[in-house]
Amino acid sequence: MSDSDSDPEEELFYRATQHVAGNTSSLASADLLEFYGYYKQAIDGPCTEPSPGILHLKARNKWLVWHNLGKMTATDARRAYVQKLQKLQPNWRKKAARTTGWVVHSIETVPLEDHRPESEKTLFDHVKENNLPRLRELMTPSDIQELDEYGMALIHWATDRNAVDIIEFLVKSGASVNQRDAEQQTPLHYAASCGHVEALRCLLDLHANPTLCDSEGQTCLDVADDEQICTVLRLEKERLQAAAS
Amino acid sequence: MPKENAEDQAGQELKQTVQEVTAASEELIEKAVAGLKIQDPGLAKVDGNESEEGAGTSQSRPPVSADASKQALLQAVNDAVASTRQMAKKFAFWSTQPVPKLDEQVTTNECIEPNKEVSEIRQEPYTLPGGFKWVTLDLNDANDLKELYTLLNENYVEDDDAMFRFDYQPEFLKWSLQPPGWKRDWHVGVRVEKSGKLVGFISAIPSKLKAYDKVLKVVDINFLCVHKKLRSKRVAPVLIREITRRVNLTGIFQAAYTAGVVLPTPVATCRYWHRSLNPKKLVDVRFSHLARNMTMQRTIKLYKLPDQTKTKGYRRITAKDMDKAHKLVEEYLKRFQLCPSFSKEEFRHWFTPKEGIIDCFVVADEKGNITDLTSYYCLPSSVMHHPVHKTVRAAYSFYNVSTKTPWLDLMNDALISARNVQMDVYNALDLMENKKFFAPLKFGAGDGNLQYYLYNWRCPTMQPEEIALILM
Repeated sequence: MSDSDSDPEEELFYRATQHVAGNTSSLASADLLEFYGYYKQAIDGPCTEPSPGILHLKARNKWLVWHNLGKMTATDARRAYVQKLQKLQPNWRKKAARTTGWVVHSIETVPLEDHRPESEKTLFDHVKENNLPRLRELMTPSDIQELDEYGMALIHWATDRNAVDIIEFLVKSGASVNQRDAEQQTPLHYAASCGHVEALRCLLDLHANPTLCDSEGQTCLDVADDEQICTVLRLEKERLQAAAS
Repeated sequence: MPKENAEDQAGQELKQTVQEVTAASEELIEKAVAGLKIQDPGLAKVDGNESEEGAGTSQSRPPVSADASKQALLQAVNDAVASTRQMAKKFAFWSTQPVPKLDEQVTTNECIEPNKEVSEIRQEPYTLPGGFKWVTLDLNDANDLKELYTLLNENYVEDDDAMFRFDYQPEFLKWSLQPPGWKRDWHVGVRVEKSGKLVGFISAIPSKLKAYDKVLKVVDINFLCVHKKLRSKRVAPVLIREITRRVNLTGIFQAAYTAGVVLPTPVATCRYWHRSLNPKKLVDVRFSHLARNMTMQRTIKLYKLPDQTKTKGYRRITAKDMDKAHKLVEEYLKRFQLCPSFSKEEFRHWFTPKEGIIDCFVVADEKGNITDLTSYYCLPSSVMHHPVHKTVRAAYSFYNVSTKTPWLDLMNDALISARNVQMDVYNALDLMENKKFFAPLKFGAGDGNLQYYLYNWRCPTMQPEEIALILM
């Protein structure tokens, strides 16, 4: 019961104003001015106040945006306000709704980390975000073997994220399907321990070797928990044995 | 005489509203002034942009004059008053109800309105908008129960963009709405007159509640739900008035309820915490999130639990344990400022395991004494718009008591029990002593608060760890 008293459109407008008020730091001042204009128009109607003197710049700027809306109706001003916010921050309702509902459905908070600008993202970031187009654009052959500060290569991250398209792209670009990380784990170890059936099948199709051991002497089957994964790996083992004999 | 009374009441309400608006304005003006200081640099930037166009003014721009800031302040006051009007409108209903005002300093522990004689209570139901009628649902009737299930499933979480919706199962609804002393009259529905479609619901169940040093006969209000299409018709306030009337007629004048939203006025604000049991699925459905540099592989290792519970004497509660366990819980709960007091029958109802609804475990020592207890209820959530997963199976911490088994051991076993019946996540509020085990047992903070409210009762606010009341 976020709203017991008003119609849905007014409620949406109210929520939008709350959101803008709480997020002024993330909005450009020109946008804030425009919000201000719509807000005044929606609440107080067309501007009939005299223009502040030319020396009072702030007040004059605010007066101007309001005054320029002319005879716009309150309903249109509310809509314009919401539409503007929708354009600037398409996800605002999700954020706002989480705090306004009568019934709360909590989920885990998103981990706090700096929002990294696109220009500062590394190839590893693009893989973690499953962004194949960017990876395709930026990757050079020497990047394929490189291990990051966690001792993992791109293909390990791709497998950890179950990013099948990226795994295929990396292998086609020359990555070893049995690439070892700092602990001698292969991509198959990652797919098996994470329970990623899709990545596992993809790696096996690319002829990954399921018999390799990590630095603790464990094969990918040893680190698997998921029944489906174990079944796929056992069948693969039988197939390989049959082929060998 | 009734007329005079009504006028008097209207006058009183008006006075209250004025007071509220004044108080809220003051606060908003303060905020607006504080906000102005922060916004100054931003607005200066706009000024700068403009002055590039009008070269004439750029030279003569004065420093921020006293006059300008006065004008800005006036503007802020105007804005503040305008948004106060909205605030007052938002709580138009709650300002008519016996609940503390949002900024009220409470030092007493007492009712707000005195109890009424039955003769003073309105005898006929409140008036619904045209085209709707009151019904009393019969949850023992499969059709009524199914209709309630559908209404809640589709409308209880109001956010239409929500990724998750509660999926209260029919048998769960019966369990939570038919404890000892339940009344059919308190399962209040609203139907469309023509089609008969169920479009609104509210419920009450009887309970005894201790608030500080006073024990009150109360009802727990729950499952207030209005169909999406009726949200603008002001049905929720009518539902609240009607359930209040029906409860008042039985001589009960206090109620407890919880909500995600802040209304006048929470007695406490609690927060949900979540412990992943099936981290891969939770990440897949976006219930949890991998940090940039966290691997799924390490995440799965981090949350892995032993196959079997560890505490000696830990087992599911049985019918024979009920009296001992009841004493243990009653004795333990007394230490909190807000807690229920269960009768024997109520205890048996709430703590008898029912598959997929409620589970309860005790630790029994060699002499057969029950020293510890842990319990959780099961409430799945529907996952919206996911190609593979349709449901998240969630266990919600109910009441836990530790007298001999250390908290970490007891709750780790509770997690294992939940995982062993394929729960995906274990949720707990930060009330009772729960904060003691959150960090060591790897709970993560949730993004939603749960506000606790009392109706027609004012008492000083409480910290989450002073609360020991769980409403489903």
